[in-house]
Amino acid sequence: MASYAVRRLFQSALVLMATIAALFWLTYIAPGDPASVMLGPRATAAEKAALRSEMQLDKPIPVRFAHFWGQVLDGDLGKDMVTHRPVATLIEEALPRTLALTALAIGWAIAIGIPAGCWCAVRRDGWGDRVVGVVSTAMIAVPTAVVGIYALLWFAVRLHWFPAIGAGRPGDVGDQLHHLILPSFTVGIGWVGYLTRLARASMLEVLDEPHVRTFRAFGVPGSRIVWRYVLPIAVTPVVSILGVGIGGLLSNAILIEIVFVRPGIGRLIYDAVLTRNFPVLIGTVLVTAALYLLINLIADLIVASLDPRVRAAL
Amino acid sequence: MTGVSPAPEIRAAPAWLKRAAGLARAVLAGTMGKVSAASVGLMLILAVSAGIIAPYDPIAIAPMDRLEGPSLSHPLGTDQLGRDLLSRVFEGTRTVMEVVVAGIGGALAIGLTMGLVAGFGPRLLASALMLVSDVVMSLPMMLFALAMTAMLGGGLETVVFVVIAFMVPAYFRVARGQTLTLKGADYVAAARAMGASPLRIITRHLLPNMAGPLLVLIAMDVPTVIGIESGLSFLGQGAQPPTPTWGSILRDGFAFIRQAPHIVLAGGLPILIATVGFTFFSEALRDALDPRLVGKKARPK
Amino acid sequence: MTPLLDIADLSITYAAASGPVRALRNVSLTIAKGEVLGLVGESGSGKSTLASAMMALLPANAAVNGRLEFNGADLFALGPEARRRLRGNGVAAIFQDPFTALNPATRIGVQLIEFQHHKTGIGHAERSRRAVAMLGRVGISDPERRMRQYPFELSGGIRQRVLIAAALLTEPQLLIADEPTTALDATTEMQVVALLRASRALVDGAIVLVTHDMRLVADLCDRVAVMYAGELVEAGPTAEVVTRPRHPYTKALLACDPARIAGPVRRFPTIPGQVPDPAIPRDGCAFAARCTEASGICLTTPPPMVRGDGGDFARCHRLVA
Repeated sequence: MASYAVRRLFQSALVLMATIAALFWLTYIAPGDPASVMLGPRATAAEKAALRSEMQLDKPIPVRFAHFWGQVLDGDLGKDMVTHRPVATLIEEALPRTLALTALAIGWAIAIGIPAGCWCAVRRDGWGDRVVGVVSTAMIAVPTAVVGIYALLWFAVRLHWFPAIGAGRPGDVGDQLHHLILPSFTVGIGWVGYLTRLARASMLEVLDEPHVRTFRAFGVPGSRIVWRYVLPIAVTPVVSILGVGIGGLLSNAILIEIVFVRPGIGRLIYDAVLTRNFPVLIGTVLVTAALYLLINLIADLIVASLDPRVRAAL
Repeated sequence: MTGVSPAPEIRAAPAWLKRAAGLARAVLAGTMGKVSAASVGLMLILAVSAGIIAPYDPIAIAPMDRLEGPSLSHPLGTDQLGRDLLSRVFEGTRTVMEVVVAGIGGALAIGLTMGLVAGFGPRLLASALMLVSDVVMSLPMMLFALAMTAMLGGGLETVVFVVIAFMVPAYFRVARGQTLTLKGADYVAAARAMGASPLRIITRHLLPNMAGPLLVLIAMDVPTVIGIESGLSFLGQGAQPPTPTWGSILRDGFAFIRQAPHIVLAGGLPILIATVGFTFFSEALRDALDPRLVGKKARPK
Repeated sequence: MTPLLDIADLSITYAAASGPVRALRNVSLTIAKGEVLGLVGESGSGKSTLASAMMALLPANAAVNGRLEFNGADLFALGPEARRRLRGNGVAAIFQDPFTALNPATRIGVQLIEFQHHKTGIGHAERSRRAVAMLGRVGISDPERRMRQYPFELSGGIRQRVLIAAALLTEPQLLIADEPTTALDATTEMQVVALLRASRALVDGAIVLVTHDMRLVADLCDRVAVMYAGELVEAGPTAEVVTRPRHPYTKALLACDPARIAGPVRRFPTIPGQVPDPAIPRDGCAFAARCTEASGICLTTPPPMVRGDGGDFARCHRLVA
């Protein structure tokens, strides 16, 4: 188990470094003058020159790369071009909100998806199974932005069940939760469908395996077989898929934050894109990517602890 | 040897045609297959004929008629500049399909080539390509899409670039996987033993066998591309005004969601039909291509 | 004395997507306490279905006609819950593929303890102790350590021993071994066969050995029943059936055994033709199409069971006096 963890950690670190290198290359080495882009068309030559020397654009590439790495490892992600606040602080403020949204979305997905999938597996090919199958596929297919807008239209604007905008009054947990429900469900909806199908397929696969027959041949009650012996095995692909899917969930969270006008990483990135605020952009992408890799790693480790066969592979 | 002529090459064209026809039959056998194929067909027809069948000019402004709800003269209503939404949806279908074709086509071409190279080429190159593709595949898409639009500027070309960048790894993997599997197949070994050149092996043996999984992947990717396009256009980073795409209609309508909700409904409707349609279509395709189901009776739907 | 297992005119039909499949046709058989019965047949002969029926473990789409009495009680008249209580508690089974029969994500010990779940009187510690003891008896070294291992850490032979131990732990009256050595290599097979032979002493009841290997039957079994295309074609004491087979199929089967080939030959003997499709209804004898001794009546009328002097009986028109 320990050696597996080390191997995965190494792999993740490699991917992260490659990502950072790619980001660096894209921003500062790709054609175009970052200074002009960032300052806009009305900047004077002096302003541009000042920015260039601040960003060390005039130094040779290896030096800049080393400097960049040094900054990153230091935790210094640069300063916001507009407000001059450290990017790290901005991210620190925004990240928990996005994480809350994503976590709740996953919660929805697991709470509805896995039981629905198991329910379908037990009623294989019956009416309920087929209806749920169609609905869950539809849930996966529709882009989150559309779901978000329609949900906003229906539940917030038309029915007034939930607020349409914002994150709620600071300090009022109940109000904040109320503001979270609709957005988080929207983010999670594709995953409800996906997990349902996945849980169903996984359960069916395990139920067909010979070891289930062995338990039945020994007269072990069906419910015990399912809960104690089938579910732990069936659930592992679901857990590992969640790890992989965090990326998608984060993407959706970003869109939904904009639809519902909520503070978070999404807004941060969106505003940074609009104003071509490179430091904020790079910093945010970096942190999000690192977070994503971390979550992936944890998910894989959980899977390895549940199913000992995984540790032997890789 | 005199008197012996090589067997006439009669199977080259009809073989794949027969397979395609058989595939179509299998797909259309079930209800889902029929309905989804109809949606896909509808989208494609609209895309091709948009210019002809649109009742109004999609970008013609008519401020007198702004924000009208659905009516006989404007079946989907008008937007905030008085433009007919039905026409904009039609034109948008064409634009979106262009993005889809350009994006997936590009990703397919590049990914396929890379996959074949990785399958046949030196191990080191293959490993390097795999690592790069892992990096791209594993990171949150919208994040990177936004970052790229910041660096490259907005517009549909950027959208196409983003789509290609994200889809290449998947096609690369499928192509590489299939190449590796099929490379070891007996008939390939036989072909090589007979002195067939790699190009011939690729076109005659590998590509036809890859066609199935690639086709399913393409059908599954169309909704993803639609999602990327509509997301980016909704955020203002994709299609620039006055170009209509489904996402930009959503963007226009979002600002007026309270007083004129019909705009977002009009923008979202084709997205719903297209994404759900293509998804079910890809499922029907996948089932039709599943070798385990070949020969068995069609399952009752 | 009532037989342990009394099967009378048992027919089992599966409802498949393409139509009904008659896996068993009018099988009648008795098994007495203390005997070892060999159930022989090729793939598709129905022997696995019969074994599943004996285990009371048929799939949901199986329609049953006839009787199967275990200790006087008709298994198929009981409800599913009653049948479940019988499994692992009177009837035990050893399956063909030891590589997939055990749950891969659970330790051996946990599974062995679970298999004893019917024994409500004894607690976890006692069950663990019994499991360790039985592992030792089946010839597994260092049983305590094995209890903590996962199946993938063990070889096929050891896994099969674990499964035999599991079956024996339930103190069965009927032990069904469904091709226990088919998936194993020759050396391991010998060890498992020796173990099965020794298990006779541990089973206070009967053992049914399902196999396609006649030599195994000759080695281990008191009686043998030969199955073909879902029907029981011959049954009797092993010595009798193996030396003086009466049904043409049994004769052909024995002739095909490579061990019986005397001198060098150019081809292995086979039985020409194919096993009839169980989905297609048929009149007459199942083997008629491939039988060298067939005549007109064989194609039209199902043959009767004919008793022989040696205590065996065979289903063949040719034997009718």
